[in-house]
Amino acid sequence: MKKSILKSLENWTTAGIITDAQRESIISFEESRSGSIRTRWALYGFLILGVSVVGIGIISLIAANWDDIPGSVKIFIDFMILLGIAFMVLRLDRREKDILYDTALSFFALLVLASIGLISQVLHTGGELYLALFFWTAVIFPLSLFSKKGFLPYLWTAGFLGALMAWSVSDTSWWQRIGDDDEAIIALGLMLPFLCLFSSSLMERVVLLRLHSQAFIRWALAGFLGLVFFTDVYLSQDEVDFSVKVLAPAGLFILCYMAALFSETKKTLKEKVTVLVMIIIAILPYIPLILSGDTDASRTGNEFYGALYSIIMLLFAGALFIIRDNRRLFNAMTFLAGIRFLVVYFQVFEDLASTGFGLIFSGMIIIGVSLLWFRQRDRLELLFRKITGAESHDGTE
Amino acid sequence: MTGLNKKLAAALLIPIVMLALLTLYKAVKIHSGRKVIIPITGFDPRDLLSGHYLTYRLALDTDVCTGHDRNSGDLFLCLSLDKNNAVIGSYAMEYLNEDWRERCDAVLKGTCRRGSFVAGIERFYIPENESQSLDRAVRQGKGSLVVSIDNKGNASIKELFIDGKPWREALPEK
Repeated sequence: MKKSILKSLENWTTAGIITDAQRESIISFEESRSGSIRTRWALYGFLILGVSVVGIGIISLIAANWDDIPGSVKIFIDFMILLGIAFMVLRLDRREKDILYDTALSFFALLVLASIGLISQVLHTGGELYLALFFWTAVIFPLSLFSKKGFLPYLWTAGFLGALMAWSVSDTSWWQRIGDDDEAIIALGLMLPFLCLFSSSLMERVVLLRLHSQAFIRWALAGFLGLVFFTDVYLSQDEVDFSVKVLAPAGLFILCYMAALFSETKKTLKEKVTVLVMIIIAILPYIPLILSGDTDASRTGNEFYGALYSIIMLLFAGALFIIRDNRRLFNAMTFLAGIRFLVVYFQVFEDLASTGFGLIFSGMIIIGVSLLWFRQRDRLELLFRKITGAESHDGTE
Repeated sequence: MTGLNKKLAAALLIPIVMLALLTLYKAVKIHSGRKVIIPITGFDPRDLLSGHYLTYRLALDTDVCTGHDRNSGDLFLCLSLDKNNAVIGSYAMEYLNEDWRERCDAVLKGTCRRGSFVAGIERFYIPENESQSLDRAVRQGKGSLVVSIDNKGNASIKELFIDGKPWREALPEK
């Protein structure tokens, strides 16, 4: 149980708002609840891990031994297994056992993917990976709406993004018209966080798609970190050059996301403005490229600009998570900003890393900065709360 | 106990029905088109084995992709066949005209990728224990592909032949 809640309970007891007995029963209720949630999530995690391993095992068995059984028999057996698991899912739904139900549901979805592979092997269809993944995401989408936990929506969003990536690197992709293969991948990478944010924003409005929206927002966070890392490298190095066309898909989804964000009613104006500022900062390093109209050949890399960009973006992300009352992610962002700060130190004193004394000194700096961050993170949080005007709710999500 | 969740049952049935339809569609495509035998060749020195499948190139007119880039869309090959349905000649057509039957025995639709004609039938799933023998046979120019081609030029693989026989019969027993 959080220290802040315990302190609040202490204060309420002293002020006579609640009695000692009530305080004790609140503490005992919260402790039993958080313990049970932890146990359930651990069990759920292991079950899903087991299911994933079984799913991969089935795919491997099909791949390794497919010639021992005639194709028609294999497809028949596969359909029988699918029907059996479907029946099991229906039975578990009636018993309302969330974890087992979701595990069976995820297993069924993975088996559908394995079945696509099996049919492709038996009939030598030889299609592209992206076609198989798009087909899979299309047929299991209705099923993902019945997930009681988040795993299947996560699997679905991963499948969708995987299909998009597989299509992007295929010869049939429209991206290939943007430039060469590298430019197509850069265009996709820059676009992904904004596509995920836009998808999440749209799905958030539909109750049935709430879990999908949460999954997309987490992919957006991963994409954001990728974007920060890429832009850091772009600003630091001279060699990273690409055509302005690479920015077009990201630009399109930024506009879509902005329209979706400002039409939302649940988010506060403070949150919206913070996101807007972050997007403006995200675009800033690419302005010379946009103005040049093609490739910015005159650009010179400067590693301090890269570091400054990363640290500012990570601190803004920290501010956003404080506004959203998510301490865990706030801590993660400030920690990453601290790591980037350390990288600056090594960039400045790179010679130190080549001598014994230099390494000892650098190690002590790392320990010192880590301890400083660990001890001062609560103060840092308070400072961010003051700056952003966010209220303290002691929430973790 | 509540009753059966009909919506969930429908959501579970959708993938099963779609997979069944996919299987049926592919099976019908394989059995309904015109049978054509196309010789195949390897990409020497590249490895023909990729995981559990054999990758190869159709041994047709090698110049069909000269002057074509990958974005120029589909390309059609007009095929001439002998009495056993084996390809004896081919030339490229930009469009599939309605009168193709007057000039061609069959047409094969594909695209040009990296200078090679690709019809989407360039890999064949094989068991791991036969991979080396099949790799060798295809490298030696003994391989041919039996495909089914529909009126629009779409091809589906029926069988892999080695020395004119289905590969299972052609390879020595282990």
